[in-house]
Amino acid sequence: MVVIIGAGTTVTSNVISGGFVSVSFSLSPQVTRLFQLGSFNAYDTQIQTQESVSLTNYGGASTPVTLQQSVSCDDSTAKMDVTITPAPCQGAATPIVRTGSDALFITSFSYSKDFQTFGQESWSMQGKPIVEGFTGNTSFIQGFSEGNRLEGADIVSNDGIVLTGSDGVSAFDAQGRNLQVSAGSPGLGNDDTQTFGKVTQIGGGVGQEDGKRGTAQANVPHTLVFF
Amino acid sequence: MALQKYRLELRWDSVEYPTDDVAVLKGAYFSGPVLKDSAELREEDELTLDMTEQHVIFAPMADYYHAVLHWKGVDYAEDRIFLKEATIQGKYVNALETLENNNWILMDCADHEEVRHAFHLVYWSKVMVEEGQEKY
Repeated sequence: MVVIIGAGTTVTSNVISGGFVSVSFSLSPQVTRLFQLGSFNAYDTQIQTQESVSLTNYGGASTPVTLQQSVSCDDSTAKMDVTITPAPCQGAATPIVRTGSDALFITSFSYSKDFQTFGQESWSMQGKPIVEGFTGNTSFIQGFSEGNRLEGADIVSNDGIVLTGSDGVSAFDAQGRNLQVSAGSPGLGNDDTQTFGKVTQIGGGVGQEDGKRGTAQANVPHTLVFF
Repeated sequence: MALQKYRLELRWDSVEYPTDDVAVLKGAYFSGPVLKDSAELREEDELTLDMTEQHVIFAPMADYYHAVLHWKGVDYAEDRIFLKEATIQGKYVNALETLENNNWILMDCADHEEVRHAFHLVYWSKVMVEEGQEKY
């Protein structure tokens, strides 16, 4: 396998100012064929195309995004403008521009940091599904976002997630505890308190905060609605 | 970091610092086992070095440490590729302790095989003093 030493893909975003580490993008068509007895040829086909992008960046570079469940048939507001210019081995690059009305919808977010590393954020995004031949109205609406985060004295000051209780009153829904220790000398381990609840904001996690760690994640469900 | 097969070294004869954010590398060249499997370098090109792993120990820096290595012209030698007009440009190039003539940069190209290159935006790097001894 040939190794490339040279210019890589570049990414820009209205939510993340820099510090990009990796990106992936895919355009996946799903073809449904209607067959009927008496013929080996499809009578009709239905094609739905889904675009997805994943981004990883260092903490300290993103602006928080507020999550708000949809209450109408307007598109979700959890969006991000993204432009990706791939680095092909040959020929000119064709940038993937998803900005403005083509901006991508954020479907999940996670944050991770160890005691003496930089925090990293990962974002998963999807474009509104494209149904070939459909001329009516569609909307990509946002559902209830849930997530979890570690809490404690050794946890970073901002892990990029704002979490509340689902009832809108309490601070969280539930707490769990995970303890693990490995035998050895010294025998080290972690005693983690994990908080679960409704997520109202994602992004803005810290980059450097030595001696602190963090793990947090949120899912932002989206549903395609026809009307 | 730096699997043997994907190991790339950037060395130079001397370094100059003309402005705050640029280090000019005189006599710069690539070497290392990955060159056996690498595609031909473009005459003028650049790549992003990610030295964050070392930067972590610099408490005053509240940011990640990316710098861009740029070159204009390449010369292939037996086991080296010489880079003309090579520079490293970045926010902290001169804010950190400056690079010395005998320093070199160890790079891991494991994420940059042809099929994966487009998805990985940086080359994991470390500034070295000698084999096994990191500068930071």
